[in-house]
Amino acid sequence: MDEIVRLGLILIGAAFVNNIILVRFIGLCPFFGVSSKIQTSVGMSFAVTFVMTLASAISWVVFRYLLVPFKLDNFLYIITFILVIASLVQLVEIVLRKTSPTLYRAMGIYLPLITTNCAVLAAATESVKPGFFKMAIAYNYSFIEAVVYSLGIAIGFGFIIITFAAIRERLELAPVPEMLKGTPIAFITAALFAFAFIGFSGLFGL
Amino acid sequence: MDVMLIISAAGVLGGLGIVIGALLGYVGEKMKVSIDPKVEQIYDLLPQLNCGACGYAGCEQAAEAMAKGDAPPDTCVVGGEEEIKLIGSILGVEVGKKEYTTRPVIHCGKGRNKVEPLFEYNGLRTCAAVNAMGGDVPCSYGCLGFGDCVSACPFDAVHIGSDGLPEFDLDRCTRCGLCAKACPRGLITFIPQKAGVYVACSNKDIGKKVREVCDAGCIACRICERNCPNGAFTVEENLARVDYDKCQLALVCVEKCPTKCINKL
Repeated sequence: MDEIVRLGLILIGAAFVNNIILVRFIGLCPFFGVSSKIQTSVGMSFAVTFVMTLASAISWVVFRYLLVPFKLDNFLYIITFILVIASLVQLVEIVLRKTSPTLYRAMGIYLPLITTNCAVLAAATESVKPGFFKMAIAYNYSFIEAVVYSLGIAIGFGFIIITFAAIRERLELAPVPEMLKGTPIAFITAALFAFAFIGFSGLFGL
Repeated sequence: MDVMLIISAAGVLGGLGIVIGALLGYVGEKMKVSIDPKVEQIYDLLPQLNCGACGYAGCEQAAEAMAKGDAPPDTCVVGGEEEIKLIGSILGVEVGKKEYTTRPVIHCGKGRNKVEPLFEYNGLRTCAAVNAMGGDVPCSYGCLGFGDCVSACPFDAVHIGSDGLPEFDLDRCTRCGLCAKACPRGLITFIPQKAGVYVACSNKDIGKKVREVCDAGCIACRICERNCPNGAFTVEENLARVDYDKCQLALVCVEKCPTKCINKL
């Protein structure tokens, strides 16, 4: 298969077919936490896209060149990735604050939130262990594939969180029954949303 | 073998931790941003609603400007006198009371509770939505009364009164103008604080058409224009307008207006 097509399929597969939120149910806390306004959800998804891609790239390098040679790749990856991600976010925050105050102001509040985001950890884990959370696939992504894969996850995350924020803004104005107002109706909407995403499964196979 | 694994795990993780820690420490020192502690103190005092009434993008920018001395300590009026005094004490400046130069008014005299709706409206309860359908009040210039101005106000200074028209709480109002922006029919404007009268109508149709939809609208009869001793009134586009520079608060207009659409403040 052509390499470009293959990367494109990995991207679409990560973004929609195996959408991190609605198909795999990872990263639900930001999904409900920062989806009440479009503006904040846009900020959050940009920050996640940035951190997720960078974190996966660095995690991949650490895994391949540090954990595998020392035969630690079966049990030490989670704590190592948490360490890498947390310090990476810290580093990005410090650098942003100095170099681009505008970007820092836009992303600043979301960066510490992402430090312990399970979606970021999942993206980092799956880019070194493909299919880890569903089934173990005996295949290893190359560096480029890992970056594209986590970028796809981030795009899927951002797409869902922004769309969901738009729906929630509209729900604010809708005549919702009193007992379902607020979070309950959001959960119901999310469930219907997830149904729609089942339609993507089996779109193609690699 | 197992012992080797434990040692290498501890070594790798510890080593990684030390390297990352050193890197973070180095970058943190290198990229240090010094912030004036005054900015933070002032920012804590500000309402942090980012209303923009002061002319700055947000409270943080306003706090920076005040700390630098580019802006006076009474730049932000939202928190009231107490807040301004505290900011003044941080900056070491004495401050008096802030005087407003403008005030909001609604240019409509008959709220939705006093008119017969054209049709039963069951859609979104916002003025913007009902206005997109042409509005359910008879007057196509009139107040829709669903309170887009109320939800736009960050300071709880606008409320819908018993007649369905918005009422302004001038003590709370900071003159940020968000209500005027939110009104889909542009009925809210800011007139001089010292103004004595305002025209409570925005209908630009001719008198006959105004009478068909509302008995409190401006019918462009020019009685105000002729009777004002100071010549402060002009009728443009079938609507009376006040020149607040000329108005001397004679209040003849309020008395003579046949539809009582000129209100005293």
